Amino acid sequence: MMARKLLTSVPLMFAALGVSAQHNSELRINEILVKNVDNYVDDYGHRPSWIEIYNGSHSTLDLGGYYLRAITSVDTVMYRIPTGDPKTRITPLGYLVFFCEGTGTKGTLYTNFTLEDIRSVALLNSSGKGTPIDVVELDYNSQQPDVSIGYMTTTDGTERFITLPRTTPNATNDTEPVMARHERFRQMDPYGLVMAFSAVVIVISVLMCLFILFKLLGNYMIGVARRKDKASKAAKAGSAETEDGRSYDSPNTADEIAAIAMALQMYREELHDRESSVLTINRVARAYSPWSSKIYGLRQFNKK
Amino acid sequence: MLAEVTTSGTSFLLDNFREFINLTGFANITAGHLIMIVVGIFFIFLAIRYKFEPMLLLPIGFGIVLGNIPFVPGTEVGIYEDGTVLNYLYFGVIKGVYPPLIFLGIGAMTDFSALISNPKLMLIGAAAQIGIFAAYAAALGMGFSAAEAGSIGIIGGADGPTAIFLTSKLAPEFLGAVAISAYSYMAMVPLIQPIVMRLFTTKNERVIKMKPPRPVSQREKIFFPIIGVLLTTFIVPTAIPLLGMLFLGNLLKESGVTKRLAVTASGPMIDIVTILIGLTVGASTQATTFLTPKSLFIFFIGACSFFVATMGGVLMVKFMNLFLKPGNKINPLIGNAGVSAVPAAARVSQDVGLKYDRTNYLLMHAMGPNVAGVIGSAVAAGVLLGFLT
Repeated sequence: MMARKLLTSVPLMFAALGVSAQHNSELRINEILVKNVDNYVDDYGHRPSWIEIYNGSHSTLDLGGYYLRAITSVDTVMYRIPTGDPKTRITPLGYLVFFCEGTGTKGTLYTNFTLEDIRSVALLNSSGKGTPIDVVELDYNSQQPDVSIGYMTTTDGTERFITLPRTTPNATNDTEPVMARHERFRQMDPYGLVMAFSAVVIVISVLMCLFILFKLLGNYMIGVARRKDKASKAAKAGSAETEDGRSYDSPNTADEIAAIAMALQMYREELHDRESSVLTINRVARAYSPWSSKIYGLRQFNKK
Repeated sequence: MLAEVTTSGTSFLLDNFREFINLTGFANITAGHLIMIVVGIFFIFLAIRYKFEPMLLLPIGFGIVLGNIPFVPGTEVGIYEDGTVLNYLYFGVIKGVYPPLIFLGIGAMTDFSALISNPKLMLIGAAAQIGIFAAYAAALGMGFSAAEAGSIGIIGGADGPTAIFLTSKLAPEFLGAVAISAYSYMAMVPLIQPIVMRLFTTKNERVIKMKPPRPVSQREKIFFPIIGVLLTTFIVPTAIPLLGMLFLGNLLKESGVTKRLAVTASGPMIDIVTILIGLTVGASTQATTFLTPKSLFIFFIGACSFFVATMGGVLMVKFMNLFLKPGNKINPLIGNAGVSAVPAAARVSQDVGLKYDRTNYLLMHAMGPNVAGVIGSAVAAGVLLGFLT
C-alpha cells in the first residue's frame, strides 16, 4: 500500500514541478538604447536610456522578483524588479521596457542604475545568482546617440544582435516587411510538388513505422499465443476429457468464434421472442398518502 | 385636440410597425439568403429521406437555414457578431476546440483490431492521402494562396473534424465552405466511391477473398494507442491535438478500467459536440460570406480530391498485391476505405464486394485502412500546419 502511494506521488511531484516552472529561457534582452538624446520619452517627459525585454514564449511570464544587473567600469548594480505589480507581466510574444534613470524611485519600470559607462547588462532569475537568463556585453563608447542595439532577423533568415536601423521600444525589431511563411512556400514551390512529395513521404513513413512496429509486435504476440496454446494442450493431454466425458477444442479461428457468437445470438433472440409474447398485467394497489398526492404536489402553491 | 392626439398616436404606431417590418427577415431577404435556405433544406431532406450522414447533415442543414435568416446587422444575433450566442458557440470551431473532442469520441468508439492484426493495411491509409496533396496543387494552380490551398486540400482526407481544425488555423475565412464541402462529400461517399472502385479494378480482383484476421489480444490493443501517439506525435507534433485525443479515447476504451469515461466520450460528449459543430458550421455559411466564386472552386476541387484519394487507395492495394503471395492478396475494393470517412467508406467496400460475391464480407478488412486513414489524414493535417504556419 505504501509503495503504491509512493509510486503515485512521484509522477504528481514531477507534474507539480512542471506546472510551476516559467519558460525563463524564452526571455531575452531584446533591445537596448544607451544614449537617448532625442528618442523615446517616458511618462515624466524625460529621455532616459532603456532596456527592452522580450517574452518569446506562448504564455504570460511575470518578471516580478527577477533582477536586472548592470556592470560598469567601476561597480556592479542589481535592480530587483518589484513583485505584485501587474506591469511586470509580459504577454506571450510581448515586450516590456525598463527605463534606466538611476533613482529607482519613479516606479516599477525604473531601475536604480543608469547605462553610463556600461559594460554588461544581464537578466537574472529570482535568486539573483547563477547563470543569467540573458546577458549583453557592450562597449559604451561605441554607442551612437539615438541608435539602439538588439536582435534582428537578417537577410539570410537568422537572428543576430546588431545595431538596429531604427529604435522600436515595445515593438518588434524586424521593421522590414517579412513574407509570410506560406507565401514563401508558394513562391519556392508554385506547383505544390515539393509539398506533395515531402508530405506524402512523411505520412507514409509515419504509417510505415507503425506498420513495422505492429508487425513485430504481432509476430511476438503470435509466438506468445502459440507457446500458451502448446502449454495448455500439453496440460490437457493428461486429462483430455471433461466432466461430461467428452473432449472439446477451444475455437481457434475468427470464423469459429463468429459461428459460436452467431449461434448464441440466435438462441437468445429466440428466447426473447417467446418471452415477448407473454403479457402479464398485475393489479397494483397503493395506499393513499398526502406525500404522494399529485393534487397536493402540483396544483397547490405555497401561500405565505 | 382629440383628433391631434389620435393622429400623432396613429403615426407613432405606424412608425413602430414600419420599423418592426424593416427588422423582419422578409424586408432584408436577398436571393443569396433564399439560395442558402434552399440548400439547408436540401441537406435536411438528404439526411431524413436518404439517411446520408444524418447526424451531420441534419444539424448542418438546420444551421444553414438558421445562419441565413436575414436580419439587420447590429441586432446581436449573427454568428459573426461579437458576443452573440452563436458567436460563442462558434468559438469552438474558430479555435479548433471541437475537432479534438470529436476525435476523442472517435477513438473511444473505434476498434483498431483489424489494423493491428494486419498492419500492412496502414499503407493503404497512407496512399489515400494523395488526394489531399493533389487538391493542394490544384488549388495553388487556381490562384489560391498556399495557406488557403492547404485548407482546401484537406477536404481530400474525407475527415470533417480534421478539415475544420486545419482550416481554422490556416484560412478561417474558408471554414464554412471547406466544412460543408468535406461533410457533403463524406455523405456522398456511397455515390462517389463505387464509380472509382469499378473503374480501377478487374472482375477477378473484386472477388478476392481475404484471409480472416487473427485474434488480437487485449495487451496489443492497449499498446496500440500508446505506441501510436508516441510515434506519430514525435514525428508530427503539430498533430498533437487530433492524434493525442484520438489515441486517448482509444486507450480509455481498451484499458478496461475507464469504462465510464469511454462511454461518456463515445456517447454523450461526441453527440453534444457533433450538434454544436454541425449547427455552427452550418450557420457560418451566411450568404454574404459564403456565396462567392471561391466557394464553388472549393467544392469543385473537393470533389476531385475525393476521386483522387479513392483512386490512390485502390491503386496502392493493386501495387501491394504485386508482392503478396496468392493466399495473402488484398481485395482492392477495400482501397477506397483508405480515406478516413469512418465507417461509411468501409461500408461501401462491403456493399460493392457483396455485389460481386455474396459470400465475401469485406467490412472487417476495410476497417483497417479506414482507421489508418483517420491517422493518416491527421498526420497530413499536421504536416500542412507545420509547413505553412
